[in-house]
Formats: sequence, structure tokens, C-alpha cells
Amino acid sequence: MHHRARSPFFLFGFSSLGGALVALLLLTLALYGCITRPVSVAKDSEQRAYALYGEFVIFEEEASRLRGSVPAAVYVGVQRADAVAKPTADSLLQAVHDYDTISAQLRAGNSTQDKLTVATSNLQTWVTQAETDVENLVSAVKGAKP
Amino acid sequence: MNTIIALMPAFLRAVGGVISLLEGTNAFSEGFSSVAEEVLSAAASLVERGDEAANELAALTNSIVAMGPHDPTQEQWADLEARSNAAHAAIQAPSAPA
Repeated sequence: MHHRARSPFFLFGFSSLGGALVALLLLTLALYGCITRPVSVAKDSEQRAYALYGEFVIFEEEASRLRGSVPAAVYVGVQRADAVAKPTADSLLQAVHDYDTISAQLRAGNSTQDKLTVATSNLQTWVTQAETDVENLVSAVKGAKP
Repeated sequence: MNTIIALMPAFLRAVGGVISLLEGTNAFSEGFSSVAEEVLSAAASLVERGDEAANELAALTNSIVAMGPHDPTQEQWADLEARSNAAHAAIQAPSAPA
């Protein structure tokens, strides 16, 4: 009686090389979807702001490289997402500067705790807004990539 | 995790190479190895295309981890601000007439 040769991939729980390949490709896609976002390692509001602003910059640069390699209509969507996110990112940056300035003034005895509380609240507000606008830009850039 | 992603294209191509080397053994049906190699190569290219942003995200993540309890420096903020302004200007620049 002829026995079909057993695939060596059976040892790894796969009945064929095709099964092993599909599993490997699925693992690749799953891993790629699990890239650690910088904001996930931030320890305070300013680090969160830096992580979000940095992610915004990385995807702005990625977006600028897409010009000419995607259809014009698609690129318009990327431009719109950037136009919305940029003022938020600039406000986030300003909120960080204000927070740093008031912190330094407070340490020097030239400001009050109340002012720092307001600056901290303002910074957190812009961090929250940036999370939304940066995510929209990231989605627009990823969606536009050929 | 980000390191694993960075190594994934090389790994996929290595697996494709091993499959190619084993062509002719009874592990594979005839012609399968070339298809498998092409599929793995395509997957590696797909990962690499998004690799630039992924590598930069990994570098940013590592820089934040390295800060420990400290905040970013003025120079780090200034660098990001300059890059953002340059990229924004490039994105919003009018397209050249066809």
C-alpha cells in the first residue's frame, strides 16, 4: 500500500507547508498591527505630549513622501487631515511651553500653584485633542499608502 | 516587539530561501517552492514599505523610555517642531501643474 509522505510541518502542528505559510503570514500581519505606540510608554503629561507630537511629525513626514505616488484625490484627504491636525499640534506645543515656563517660575517663587494647575489642565486638554487628530492623520496616511 | 517587526522582512526572506533550497525533497510538491518564495517575498516587501515609519516610531518610543522620569529637552522639542513645519509646508504646497 502506498503511503503519502507525511509533511515535516506536521511536527509543528501544520498538515502542510501551505498551512505553515498561512500561519506565518497571519503572524506577520498580527505583529505588524502590534507596533508599540510611543504614547504607551509615556510617564506623565509632557511625555505624552512629546509622544503624540512625535508620532504626528513621523506621519506628517510619511505623508509628504506620498505626494506624487498616490492619486491626487487621495492626497487631498491626507492634506485635509494634516490641515486639521497641525493647529492642534501647534497648540499642544504651546501648552507644553506654557507649562514649562510656569513650572520654572513657580520653582523660582515667581508664580502660583493655581497658575500651574491651569497650565496642567490646559496641557491635558490639548493632549486629549491631539490623540484624536493625530489618529485621524495616521489613518489617512495609512489608508493612502499604495 | 518593535525589534521583532524590524527583523521580520529578513526572516520572511530567509524562510523563502530555505524553502527554495529544499526544493526537490519530498517536503514540497513540485512548483510549490517558487510560489511560496514569491508570497514570502511579497509579504517582506509589504512590511518593509511601512518600515520607515515603524522604525521611527520605535526610535521615538525608545527615546521616551530612556528619559526615565525626566521631560524632553528644549532641543528635542525644537527638533520635532522644525521637522513638523518642514513636512507641513511640503504637504500643503500646491501641486505642480500637469
